[in-house]
Amino acid sequence: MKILLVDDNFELGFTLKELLELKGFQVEYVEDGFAALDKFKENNFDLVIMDIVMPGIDGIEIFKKMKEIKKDIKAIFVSAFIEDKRKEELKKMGIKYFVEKPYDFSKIVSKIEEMLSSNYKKEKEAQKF
Amino acid sequence: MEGRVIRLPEKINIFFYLLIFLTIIFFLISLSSVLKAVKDLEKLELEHSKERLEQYFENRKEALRHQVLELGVWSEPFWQIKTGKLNKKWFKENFDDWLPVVNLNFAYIFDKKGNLFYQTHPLLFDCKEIIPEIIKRKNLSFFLKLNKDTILNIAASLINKSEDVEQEGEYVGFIFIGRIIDNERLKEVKKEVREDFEIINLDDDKERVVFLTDYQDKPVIYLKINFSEKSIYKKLGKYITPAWFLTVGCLYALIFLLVKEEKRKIKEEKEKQLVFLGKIMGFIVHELKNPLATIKNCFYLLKEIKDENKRKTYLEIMEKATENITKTIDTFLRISKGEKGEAELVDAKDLVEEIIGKMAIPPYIKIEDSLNNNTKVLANKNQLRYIFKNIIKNSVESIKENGLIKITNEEKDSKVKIIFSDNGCGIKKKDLKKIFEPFYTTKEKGMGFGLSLVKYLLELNNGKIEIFSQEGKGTDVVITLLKGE
Repeated sequence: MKILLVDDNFELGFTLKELLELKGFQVEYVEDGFAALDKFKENNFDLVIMDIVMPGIDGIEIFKKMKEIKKDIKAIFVSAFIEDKRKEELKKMGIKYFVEKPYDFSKIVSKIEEMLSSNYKKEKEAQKF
Repeated sequence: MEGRVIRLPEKINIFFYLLIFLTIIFFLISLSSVLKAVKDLEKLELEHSKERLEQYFENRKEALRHQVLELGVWSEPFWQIKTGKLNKKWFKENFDDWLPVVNLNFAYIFDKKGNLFYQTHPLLFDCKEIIPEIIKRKNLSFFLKLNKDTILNIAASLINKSEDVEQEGEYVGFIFIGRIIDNERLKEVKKEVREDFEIINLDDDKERVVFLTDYQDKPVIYLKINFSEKSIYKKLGKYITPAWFLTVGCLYALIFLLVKEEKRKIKEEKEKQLVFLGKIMGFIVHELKNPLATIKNCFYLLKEIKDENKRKTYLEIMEKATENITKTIDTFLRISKGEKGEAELVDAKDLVEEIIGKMAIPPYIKIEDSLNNNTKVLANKNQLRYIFKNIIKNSVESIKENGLIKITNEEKDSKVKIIFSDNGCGIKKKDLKKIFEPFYTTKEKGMGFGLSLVKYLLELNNGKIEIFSQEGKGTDVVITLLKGE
């Protein structure tokens, strides 16, 4: 499981990376969206964990661009505050996973596991056909 | 802060102007009634004027003369005696018995020889007293037998204003052919008549003096009549027209509307303040969430990881995050109290470089830092960092592709201008006006807090901000700060 972590706050990104690695995930961490896109082009990631509000280019934009590269890329969005209205909009865009800061780390892990299992199901279903 | 413009909501606006219009109209109508009242007063005055009375006497001269003759009251004998030209034959022909001649202050009673028989007390008392007294002492001619009311009626008929004659006045007039005279004329009269001929004091404008003469136009008696002003006041009611009430009503409605509007505004202002507070709270909480999440992460890591070196790193990170939290809270506390924070010498170039270094700048944006080395300003460093960061961030976000942000400075006297120019999307004219309003934002994600706070912080630091922008061409943000030595 290869995860790309994007957050403009270095301390937060760094500690989250350490935690995820502790759980056995392979994590690449970058501080801004442009670097993230570069990294994404070079490597094959299974999951992206991203802050929404970042200077320059925000998480949603990056996600759109990543989708152009890899259609089935999954993402968990982390933000300090997401209004319900915006959540609905994002859901319409196919973005389902949000975590609000300051998050419980176990929540992120459970989300990852949830996604993995759905991935697993999909793979299984794909195998059936 | 820019001057508060009082704007009424559109609906009230129309009503408001309509009310002002109506008030003016009604007031003008009311005013016309005042003008009419003034005119009427003038007319009334004129009616009482000497010209008018003189005219009246002139017209009625014959009738009055006849009346006087009939009444047997005549000044001719008095005049003859006074001037020493006594015509005894004339006396005998005209009067058998007693002859009363009355002037203002004294009643003279002559015998048929023309000798002064009796001089009354001054007539400065009610005729109720004088007449019975005279009648009692001597059997005077029938004139003196007339009762007070009859005498007054005669007086009143002369000036045709019976209700205006003071009934209980000090002076009573008796015999009447005359004209009204003014002070000037009185002076002349004084010269004409003898010294002992008393003349009424005319100082009081309200009093009219009827200067009475006999048929030969010689002065005999003065009649002082007080005109009561009652009639004028009585008529005042008719000048209080409905327009007055409508004017007052409209004014009342106007005041009511303004008060209501002001109350609404105060309420709105309070609500705004509450929202503002809430938003500030939200902003602070937002700022605190990153360090809090960091600390939380560190706790997890500290629980799980035993490696001493790593643990030390996490503790350092926690410490830094805690410091960040303290700093944020401190900054906002200072701001909320309007505290300036300590001003220090800040190297603008260093600060700009520090901010750019930490910021994620898209690769298609070039930042040209042309600030002079040694551009020192006097401001609070933390606040200035927030100001610069916000302005640069706005510029970065306004550029969608291949852009340039240029930072330059100008120095003049004791001021330093730092100019941030970008060739980004610019600001719409309608947005430019509201750009410093708290929580005004055109961004989907922004809170609209940035520039209002920037402006506020600059004001705290004796600085100011100006924004020049053209939609589609770019924006220049000019901040002026105190120059540090």
